[in-house]
Amino acid sequence: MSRAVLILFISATMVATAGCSSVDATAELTVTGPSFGAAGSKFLPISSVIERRCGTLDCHGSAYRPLKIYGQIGMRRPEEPGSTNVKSFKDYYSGGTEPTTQAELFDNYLSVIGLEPELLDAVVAKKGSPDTLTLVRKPRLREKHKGGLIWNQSDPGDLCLISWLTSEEGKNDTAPCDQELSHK
Amino acid sequence: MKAYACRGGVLFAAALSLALAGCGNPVIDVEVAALGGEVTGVNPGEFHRPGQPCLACHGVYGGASPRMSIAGTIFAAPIDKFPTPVEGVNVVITDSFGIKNGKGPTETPPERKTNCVGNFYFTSDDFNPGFPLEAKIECPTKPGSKDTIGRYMSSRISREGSCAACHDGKRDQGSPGWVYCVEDPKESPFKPPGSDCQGVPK
Repeated sequence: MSRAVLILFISATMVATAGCSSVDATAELTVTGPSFGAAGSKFLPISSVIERRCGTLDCHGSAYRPLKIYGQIGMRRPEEPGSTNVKSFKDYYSGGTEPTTQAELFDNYLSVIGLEPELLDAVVAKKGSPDTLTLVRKPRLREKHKGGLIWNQSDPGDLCLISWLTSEEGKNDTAPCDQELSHK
Repeated sequence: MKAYACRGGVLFAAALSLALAGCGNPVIDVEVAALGGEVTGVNPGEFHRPGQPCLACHGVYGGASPRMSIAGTIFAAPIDKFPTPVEGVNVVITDSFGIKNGKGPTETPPERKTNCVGNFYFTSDDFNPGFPLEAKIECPTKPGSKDTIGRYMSSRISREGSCAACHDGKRDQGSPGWVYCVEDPKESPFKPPGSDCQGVPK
């Protein structure tokens, strides 16, 4: 191996190594998400739909899913007895009578926001189409989805989600969410 | 030389076949191993392993016969220790096309009742449902009674065919508890199965 080739090889290795260790652990990304509302009031109808249609224990109501969903009829957020997040601990189990808690609602919001934060930020800023989001594409089965087709484009569940993603702060139409939840 | 090449090819094919045969689904393998062995005195069959996730073995990946699509165990009431099974519970599963227990929406769904250890199952030939599913159980009001009380599952079944994959053990933050007929254990009229039940160890 000539000296020139050796130097090139070492340089390339150094560049490659530097590239692997150049993640800035202090870097932050500011994302503007869709409306959460006071005490989650604006997100509650959307979370209710996602809990019912996506968050069952055999799908996204699982700690192993990237889009992890908590809720009354699915997986509950881990809480210890005496937690102030829970009103009635004896009823705080999957399918129990304790409604979805504020802490669960906020964690669901973070799950949704955290899935594709940059893309979501662009959609909320009206610089991107909601059709680019995995959150929108998967239930429409426009992208491979183990759970199959959840709803078609413009079905009530889809409209509920799209309205929340694209409306001005807090002005989303929740009627489609109610319609979706009225299905058996 | 040709004979050696041919023999080498056969050996390679044999080795490849063995290697592929050994490749199961590691997630399922771990799940099945965690279930443990058979209970002594109970033969493998429709009475074995009540309360376990049937499709771990009898599903697409498990390979056990018969291949099942929906299967589970119905118990009397939610309690911490292993509860009493209920015999004669009719299970009605409705799929996303309105097919009930394998029959069309306008037909009377065939009964699918639990046995003496509370087990029931549908094979894939009986009913290959389109998810999501709605589940209802019709529990006898007392042992052997034809009068029943219906209980609906409050959420849909999105894709899991084993009841016990979610309804596992006592109620907690990750499980609604066993599927049961009576809310209050003190009001349960059901007794443990007798020694004539094939699922009771001899």
